[in-house]
Amino acid sequence: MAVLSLKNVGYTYEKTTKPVFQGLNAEFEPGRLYCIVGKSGAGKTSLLSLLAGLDICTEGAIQYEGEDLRELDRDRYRAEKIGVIFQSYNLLLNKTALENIELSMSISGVRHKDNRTYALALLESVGIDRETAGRRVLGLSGGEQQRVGIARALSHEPKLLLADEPSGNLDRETERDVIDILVDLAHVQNKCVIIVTHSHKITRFADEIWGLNKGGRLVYMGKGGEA
Amino acid sequence: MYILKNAFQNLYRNAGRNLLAAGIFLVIITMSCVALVVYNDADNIAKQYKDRLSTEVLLDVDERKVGEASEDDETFRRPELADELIRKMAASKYLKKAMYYVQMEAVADDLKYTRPIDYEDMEMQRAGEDRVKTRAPQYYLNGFEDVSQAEPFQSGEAKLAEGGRFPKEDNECLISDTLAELNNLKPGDTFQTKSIYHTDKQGEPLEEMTLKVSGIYHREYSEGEMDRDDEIFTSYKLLIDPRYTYEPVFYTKFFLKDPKDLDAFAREAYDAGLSEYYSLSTDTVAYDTFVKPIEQMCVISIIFLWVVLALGAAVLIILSALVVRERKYEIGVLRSMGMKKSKVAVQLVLESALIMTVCLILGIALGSLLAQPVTDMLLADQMSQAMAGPSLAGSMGGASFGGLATDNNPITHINAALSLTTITELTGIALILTAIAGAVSAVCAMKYEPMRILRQRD
Repeated sequence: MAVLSLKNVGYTYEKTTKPVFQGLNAEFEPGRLYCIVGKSGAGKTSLLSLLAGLDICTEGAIQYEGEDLRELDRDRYRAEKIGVIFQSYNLLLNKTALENIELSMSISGVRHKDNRTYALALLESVGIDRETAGRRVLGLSGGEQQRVGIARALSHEPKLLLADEPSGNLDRETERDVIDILVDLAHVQNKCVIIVTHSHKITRFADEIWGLNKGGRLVYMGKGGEA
Repeated sequence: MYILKNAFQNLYRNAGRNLLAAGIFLVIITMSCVALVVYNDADNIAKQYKDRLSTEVLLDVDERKVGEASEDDETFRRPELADELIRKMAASKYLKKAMYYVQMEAVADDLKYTRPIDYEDMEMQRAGEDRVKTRAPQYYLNGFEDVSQAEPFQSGEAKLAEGGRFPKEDNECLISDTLAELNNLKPGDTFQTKSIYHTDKQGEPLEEMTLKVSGIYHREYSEGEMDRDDEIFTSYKLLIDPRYTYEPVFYTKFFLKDPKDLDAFAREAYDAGLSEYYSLSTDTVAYDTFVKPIEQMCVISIIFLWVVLALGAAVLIILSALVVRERKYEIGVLRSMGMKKSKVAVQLVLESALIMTVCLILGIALGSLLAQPVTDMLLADQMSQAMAGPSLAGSMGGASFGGLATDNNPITHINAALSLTTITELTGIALILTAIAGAVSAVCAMKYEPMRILRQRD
């Protein structure tokens, strides 16, 4: 069953008449890695905000496990159901890496036997050691911050992961590590991973590639390596 | 719980920003504390004085009327107050309290007196009366219906020594410890005394009284105060007895239930037989002299408080809005993580509340230290203005004859102490300021949509 479905989704910015996109239909399933590609200004980030419940579509419906996002408590949806990885990381800069993860777990209401141990293990799984975990985010490199961002997105064990240009600000080596993590999340940990990107290095690993064209339509473009 | 933890973390991780807010809070609370301490303490004193000065009735001789009458008739003499009239006035429904006593100037040839006075018999003639022989007084006999209710014993200024008791019989009395020591008198001893007048108004000789000492009192005097150890406290009835007294001199202290009742009380007194040569008034001159400056202090402190609060609130509103603007990225991140708007608002309010709690404690401590010098300065300023005015001389000269002399001294010190009321009011102010700062932060934070903030950041 699809984790997320788009049913004739359309979106027009406030105070404008021209839609950014319209009539989008797609289904996203667990265990698969999806890439949404498109030129700058095609509306990729707007689509991601709709999927993340940060905004509401002006036409059609986005359904999470069959439930319209409009009907859901979208704060709760973001806190518990999905994980979002941002291109610019969007971490709390005056907190340590560990505190960012712990705060996310607290907001989501996640309770493990020992939340701190769980958070440290999670950070370790994305390549952040204990010493780095205790450092303020502001003092971390871009790659480290993106790993913390991924750990934060996973902290409440969501079924759906949304990533906006996750390797956009990273060097080649770190980019490869991040791609490996995302592929692992989809194929090994059975998460539904949707990545908005224009990086061919990521699309190569995608199970499905969708393109947002200039006319504001979502077009299936094949799978990684084919497209 | 995590919101509180997060709020604490934010406080010390953003020390600069929070110290600025704390500084503003501290200044507001300290200034408010000073203003409130000055206001509350000055207001209490003003109320006490107001209560006393505006309700205490002064029974005075109307010198103007007496002067006019004397000009018309050389033999004119104003009627004296009578015991019956005093009792009627004291029983008035308009009074909440009435104190009165009768005084006799006396001599006692067998006693050594406390203050050496060179006296000899002399003759005196008062208007409209025959010449009478009289002597300088050695003692003052004060007659009370119940000596224990006399002001020195009520105020604690005078205390009964062990082994004695207050007079029960008409001929019993209390003497000072000085007088007792000088004459080796103890409870149970008797002595003879008599009025300074040799005869009554009809020329009949006045009798000597035999007083029995029922107790000895000790009186404390403040520095520079003249001792009054020549006062002997005895019964009222004895001193109005015509066998012993030439003419009783009454002293009264009447307190109205309501200052507005003065006219009604006066009407009642004149109807009861009070001569038109007496006037009844409240001490408006002393009121203006003593209470007005204190009231002015209250006005100054309350205006100061409002100005501080208004300016403080305005600065806090601006600061809160600026702080939220500066923190909008953080708010956007929290919202994108799924934190509800209400919880973001609670966190902002909590941060303000934590800063305010610390500032409240520090501000109260600092304010209470500053309050005394500020009070002294304001009081000195106000009193010097009041004393420079023409009213005080009138007040001091206006001591009543036939009534108790005005015993109001200028207020030279107000103890600027922190009261529970002040602490409660400051806590209220702190809560309001926290609510203002928190509400502004919360309202500003609500405006920001997370996606818009994060997009701007990107």
